[in-house]
Amino acid sequence: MEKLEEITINDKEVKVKDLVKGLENIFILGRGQSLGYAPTAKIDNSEVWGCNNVYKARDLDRLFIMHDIYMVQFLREKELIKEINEKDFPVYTLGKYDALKNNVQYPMQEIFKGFEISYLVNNISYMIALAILQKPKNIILFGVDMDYGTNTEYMYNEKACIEFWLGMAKGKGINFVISEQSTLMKRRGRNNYYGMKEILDGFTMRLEPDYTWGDKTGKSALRYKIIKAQHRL
Amino acid sequence: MGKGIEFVKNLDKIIILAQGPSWYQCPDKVPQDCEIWGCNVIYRDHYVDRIFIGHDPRGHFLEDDSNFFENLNNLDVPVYTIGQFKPLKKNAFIPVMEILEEFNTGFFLDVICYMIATAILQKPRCIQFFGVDMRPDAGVEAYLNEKGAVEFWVGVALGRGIKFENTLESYILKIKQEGSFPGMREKVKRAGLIYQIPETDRNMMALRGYVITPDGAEI
Repeated sequence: MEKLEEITINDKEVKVKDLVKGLENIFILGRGQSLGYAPTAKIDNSEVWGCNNVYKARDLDRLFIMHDIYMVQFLREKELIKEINEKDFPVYTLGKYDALKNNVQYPMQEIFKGFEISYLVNNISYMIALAILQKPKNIILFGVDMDYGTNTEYMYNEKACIEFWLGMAKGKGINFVISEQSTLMKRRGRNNYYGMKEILDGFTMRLEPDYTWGDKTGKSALRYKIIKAQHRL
Repeated sequence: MGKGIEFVKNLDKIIILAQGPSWYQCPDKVPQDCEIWGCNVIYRDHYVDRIFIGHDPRGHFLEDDSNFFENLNNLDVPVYTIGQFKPLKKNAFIPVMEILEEFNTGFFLDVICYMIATAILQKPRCIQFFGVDMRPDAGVEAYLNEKGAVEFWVGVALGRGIKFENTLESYILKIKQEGSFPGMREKVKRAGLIYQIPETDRNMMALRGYVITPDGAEI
């Protein structure tokens, strides 16, 4: 396999170094409905990272557009380049775009070195991966809802990929917060404890084994047999 | 003599062996500082040191093994379950509460999640998968949600510095759909109670004409 070449650091890319380590919070904003619950006021020792045209809804510290910006402009936001050039935040992209005033190439090399994993299937996964490298105390997601049934590709692959990066954050001791409306780390119609049932005790919850077969208390025989019975005459 | 119920800390490797098509690549013999943890009825196809079953295990009497508990007892391996099943000689609880205390995260959509989380608690150098394929053709529910939950716990393991190895055929940390692959090996045919009745009766309607009863005392 060919070795990856080091990314040359030029004047623009130096901005990668401007990333702030050890923040209290990095807010990651997607375009889902729970974006509406994202705080509007600036929070101390925190940064707000958004993707695509989220800059229209909230003030951002950094913007991430991992698709070709001309495609995003064509498909979603007719004035994209003009509007983001009026802002001060760095715009992270995979390619380099001279048309952008404050363009920073996404530090892919740093991600590979940091994780030795190439599993980045949407904007949000790139953002979480980069956020983890900055070692904040909390990564807080709004608008990353991954609505059930949004479409097949979305659910099949992107939800799982984000969940992987949340696991990586957890493993590195970074807390994460997901908005209640998000389907991340949930499954439709079942609880999160395979083989168990949740019993609500007032405001708290108990977990109990879900005995679904034979005796419902869990009493069990060593062996069973199957017999024919004409009980539906 | 099989392993005791207590887990072993700081192993070199814990192999998690599930029932996806790449199961057969799991080595038959492993070094002393490596353990093979299997799920459900994979013991019928491959040696295991420990068995994990997340759902009610008695369901396997019907489909997979009419002598399920006796065969597990004969293997003399610890069987970790959510509930308690007294006919099993070496039965212990999957340490769900210990996992929750350590990670403060309840996200266990299948038995593999419990296995990875339990493995992380033992701090091995490496966790390796065989048969944890999460194939897109394995079923919609499995692929839509369980894959992400497994990937979450893989992420936790990696984040804690545990090395992770997997088969080429697995779809964990991948998205592309592929077909069957050369070298697939047939698994042992199922031998549950259902296979003791005529083939013509093995359908949802005809099965209503059958009753499953304990063949001995329930304890």
